[in-house]
Amino acid sequence: MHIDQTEKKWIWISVLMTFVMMGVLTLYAVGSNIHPPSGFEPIDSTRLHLSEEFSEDNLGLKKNDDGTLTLTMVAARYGFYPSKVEVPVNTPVKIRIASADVLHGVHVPYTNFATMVVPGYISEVNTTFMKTGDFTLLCNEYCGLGHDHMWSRLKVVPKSSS
Amino acid sequence: MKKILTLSMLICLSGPVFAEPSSLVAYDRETRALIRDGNVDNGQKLAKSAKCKKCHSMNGIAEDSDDPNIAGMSATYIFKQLKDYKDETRSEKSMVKAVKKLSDQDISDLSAYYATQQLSAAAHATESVPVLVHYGDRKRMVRACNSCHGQNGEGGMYDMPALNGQSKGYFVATMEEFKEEDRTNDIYWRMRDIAKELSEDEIEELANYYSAVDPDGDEDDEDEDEDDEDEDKE
Repeated sequence: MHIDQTEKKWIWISVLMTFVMMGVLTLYAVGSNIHPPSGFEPIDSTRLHLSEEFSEDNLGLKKNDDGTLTLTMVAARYGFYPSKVEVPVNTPVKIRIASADVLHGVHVPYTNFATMVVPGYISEVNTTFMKTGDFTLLCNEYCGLGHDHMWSRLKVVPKSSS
Repeated sequence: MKKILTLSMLICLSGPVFAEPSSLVAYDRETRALIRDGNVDNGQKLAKSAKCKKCHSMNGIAEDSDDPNIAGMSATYIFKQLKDYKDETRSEKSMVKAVKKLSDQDISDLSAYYATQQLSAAAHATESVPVLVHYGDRKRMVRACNSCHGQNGEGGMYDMPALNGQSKGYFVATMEEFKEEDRTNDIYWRMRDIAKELSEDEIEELANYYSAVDPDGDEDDEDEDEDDEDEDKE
């Protein structure tokens, strides 16, 4: 098979670039002591609705004994449940979310809340919503044919009304 | 007596009491294996002996519009519904009674049998497609029907049933049940949330779109004869 000289050069260059990039990544990972996150919480996604934390009656916003707030949610094809949640503005909220089926990503535009939701693990995010209003929870990891309809509502309300 | 009282108190104080889950079925490895290994031949025998055919016919197409067509539904969906009846997380009395004595293997076999039957032919009674089918309504958080139930209503993964060719009466009644929370075995309110947002006209429109042609015109004579024989025996 005839390969043009210029084409050969570019094949070698692209292979070389791949190895250079892998080398750079390895150096950074080793040099900065980067490693996969520890302290992850596994959970059986297939039995999520039968678990204590992610059972239907335990989902939503709850006040903990120490006065802090925890929002527990489930991502499942195709929605985030409960599909309508209310949180108070300017108040720290711990959000715990798990997937009941496949890989999802939850993202609320105009806020800093976004995380991947990997089946088999609980995702936890601590955030504070700074503005009142209606926001939409969107899925940003392609999860199936209904992915573009995977939406739910987050309502950020004034502190007094929550 | 003291012992009983103490024991009762201990049970009450032993931890928080959680409401019953909407369904006890989980598609874990064991359940998936059980469904996968369903025996179609045994399912066919059971469909006769357990009298499934009286309402659903041997081919899974109900003769009465109030009964569901179950032909071609996925085995995973049929399995879950039958298990839910057995666990009484779905509470239609006649079905709860019908599945009471069935084992998990029987349920798996029946699911396998009806899953092999021909899905009701696409028979949209209306030509116009309701907006909700493909687009849903974002303002009301109503997801498009086809996002879960398949692009052509042929059903989706696991517990997402086919809608195409469903009995109209059953379709409307089921949506009303979800709306009124009379049926709650949809895990995480997935259908209840949607049904509550829909008006009666919208439900009617969707039922017309998805429903099958009235089955009175093409009854299966063989099934009818077998039914008559069964009734005679009783």
